[in-house]
Amino acid sequence: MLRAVPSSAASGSAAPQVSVRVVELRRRIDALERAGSEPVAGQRAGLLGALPFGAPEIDDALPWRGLALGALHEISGPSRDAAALGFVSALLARLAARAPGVVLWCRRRGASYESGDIYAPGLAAFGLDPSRLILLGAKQGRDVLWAMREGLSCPRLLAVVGEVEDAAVGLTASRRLQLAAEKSGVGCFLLRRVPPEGGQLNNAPPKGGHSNTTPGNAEEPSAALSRWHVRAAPSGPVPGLEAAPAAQRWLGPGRLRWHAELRRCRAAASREWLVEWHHETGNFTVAAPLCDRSVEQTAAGLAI
Amino acid sequence: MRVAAANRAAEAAAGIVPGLPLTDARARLPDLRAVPAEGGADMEALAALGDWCGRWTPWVALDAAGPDAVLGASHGLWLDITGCAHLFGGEMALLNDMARRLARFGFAARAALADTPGAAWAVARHGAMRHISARQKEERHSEAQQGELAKHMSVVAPGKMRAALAKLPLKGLRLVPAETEGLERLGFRAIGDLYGIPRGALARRFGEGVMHRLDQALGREDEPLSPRRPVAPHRVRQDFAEPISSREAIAATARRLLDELAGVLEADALGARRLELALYRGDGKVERIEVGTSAPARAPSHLMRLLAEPLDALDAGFGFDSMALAASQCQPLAPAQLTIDPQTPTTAPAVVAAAQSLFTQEDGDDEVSRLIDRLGGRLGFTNVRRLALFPSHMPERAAVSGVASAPAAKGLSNLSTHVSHWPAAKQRPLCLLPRPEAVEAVAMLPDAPPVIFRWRRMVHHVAKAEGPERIASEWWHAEGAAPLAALLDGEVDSIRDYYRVEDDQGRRFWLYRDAPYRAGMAPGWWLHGLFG
Repeated sequence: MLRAVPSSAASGSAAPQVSVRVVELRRRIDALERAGSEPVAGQRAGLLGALPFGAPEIDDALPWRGLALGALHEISGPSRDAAALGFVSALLARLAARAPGVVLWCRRRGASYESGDIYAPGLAAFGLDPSRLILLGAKQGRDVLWAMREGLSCPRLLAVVGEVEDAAVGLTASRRLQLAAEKSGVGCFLLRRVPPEGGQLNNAPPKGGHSNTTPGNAEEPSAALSRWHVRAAPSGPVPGLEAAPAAQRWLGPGRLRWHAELRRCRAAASREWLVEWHHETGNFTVAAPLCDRSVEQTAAGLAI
Repeated sequence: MRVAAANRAAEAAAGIVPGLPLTDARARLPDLRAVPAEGGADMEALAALGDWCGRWTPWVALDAAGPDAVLGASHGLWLDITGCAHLFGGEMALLNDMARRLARFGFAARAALADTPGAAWAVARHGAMRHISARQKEERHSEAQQGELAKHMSVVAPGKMRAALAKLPLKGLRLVPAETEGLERLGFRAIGDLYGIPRGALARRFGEGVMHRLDQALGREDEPLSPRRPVAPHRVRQDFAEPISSREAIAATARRLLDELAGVLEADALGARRLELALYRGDGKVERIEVGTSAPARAPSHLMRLLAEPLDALDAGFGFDSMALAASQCQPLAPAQLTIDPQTPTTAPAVVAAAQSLFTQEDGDDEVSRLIDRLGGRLGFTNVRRLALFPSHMPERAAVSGVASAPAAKGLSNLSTHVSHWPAAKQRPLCLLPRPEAVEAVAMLPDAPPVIFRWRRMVHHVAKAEGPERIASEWWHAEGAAPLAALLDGEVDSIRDYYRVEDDQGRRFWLYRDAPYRAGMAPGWWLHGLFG
């Protein structure tokens, strides 16, 4: 069910020129295309609509000019790094800057030994006030799903985030979440940790290009409106030192970058971007894909 | 060894009474069956029975400190039924109900009802009531049984204590044995004998104790009873003609009680912080459900959702025949204004939005705290937390978390010293491992960042690194005085050099090296956090 994306992607800021009629039509198509049978999505979704990335390349590729709120979005990432977590935190920071409310973050208590505790100063660095977070530590994975559904029934929440590690969520559970999100208009992010591609014991992780064949999880049916896979990418230039010489290695990591791959989305083609997060402005940009390739190789060569 | 308690059969057959030496008792009745007394178990059983008596009144006190408490023979229960009797059809009907139910459990109970605890105590133990064993009672037909049971129950009419006590023995005054003996030596046999004696004469000879007890029994002096369980001022209850055990019936009753309680609370402008639902089983057990809320609440639908979860776990046994709901902890809650229905269709959505933000601003907090209640009720309130920053350089101390059920959703008001901003120059990871994990790392120079390290059996080639950021433990947490908990948390390494590193895949980590560098010793490297 691909839908024609407006061909104004090149101009970048097409939104103001779209007529009221087109907006209205889009909204109706929206309502039809979401999973639920209810014609009218939640009140908040109607007001806030979607959360744009701020990068026109991504927003134009998505049918709602951003991530639709009042819907379930699944974001998976390798379990050994916090890339998906960072990506979600950036999205939440953007959301928190636009609307009031608190975020319910559900995870299994035991997950902190595997991937660490959510660290308040780290959230603050993303521009997300830690006091706007309610952190729920569930004992079991299914309690996480229950708590998410419970949170989605409260339209005063800004968003609900759930971390699921291994267990398959399944079509039924994800559909329930999607319906609950639609009803209340609260954004829902399902954060999934998948084993790193190439296996846990592989000492030499595959370099360069990615493979689309994450075992098991990618093919699992889900009612999520969009499914993303986020991997870490070599960081961009250090803010303020964009013109630094090649000895960038000692300047340390710069702006956060991720390979954000849109694996599945209703009414949009799957694509991949190299996104860069600007924490000063709270914006995403799409980085030029080749900009770090040479640096990365020389650095790796130096290291070995 | 002495007899601590004897059943009525033993008493009737051979005059075996508490206090008799066991050898004497065996001599009188060779086939006497004696078991060691278990004072603790007796007390537990009495306490459980007292809890179950909460079906008649919440004000139940244990009478365990009587003069013969040593022998365990005269334990009893006080029930303050002030204002309760009419709920059961009058005082006599209440006593009958009590007698019937207790007899069904096999207890041989005697009860008396009087204006003062002292008078009731005396009449219940020494009043003119016939003894009938529990077994005999069961054998009789129900109507006759009612009549017989009534003989174990007596009601002292209001203001008639003086007459009722006059003929009772002095033991009924709860005196210490020495006082009783002293009075008997002087020829006093009944309580009534003391009525005409001048107070001064008695006090001179026996001290204040005798007059004190007499005054208490006759109502000239107050004797407060302290209830076994805290008595909630707001309590509603429901009896059933037939025991109920189905979940639907219990839930429906709970809902009705909640509606009733909401009315009671609203009249006093209160909201419940803690609710206790007591379900009295027909076989003398009590099931209790306690739920807490994060903010005062009285909305029945919300409280019902909290109660619904533990209702599933009830052990109904043969069914419940009474339920009582009490708000055991309350806080002021102003009567609610009616809010504009957010679903009201309006032409312009913006108007609805504005109206919502005007009228339901506080309602929003309310909804969030209700959500916290529901989450906490099922998963435990300690597992629903809020985060805050704390002004400390030590990474472990820089973040604090508090239980989210603290008043309202206004941040961590119970954590007084939190800061709202984190300096941007200090870059911190998004995830902090609960304990730093040791990594094998290779660095070119002692104070250089690593070029390669192995964490969790995987090798990472460092592409970019920044550091060190030296973080020392705060001087007021001196190393010598490090508490054990800090020691276990790995905080004892008082100086650390932190590096932000990125591997060739772009994964970003927070590593530190033990500092300062000591010649000849390979420094330990630790991974402490993951950046987004």
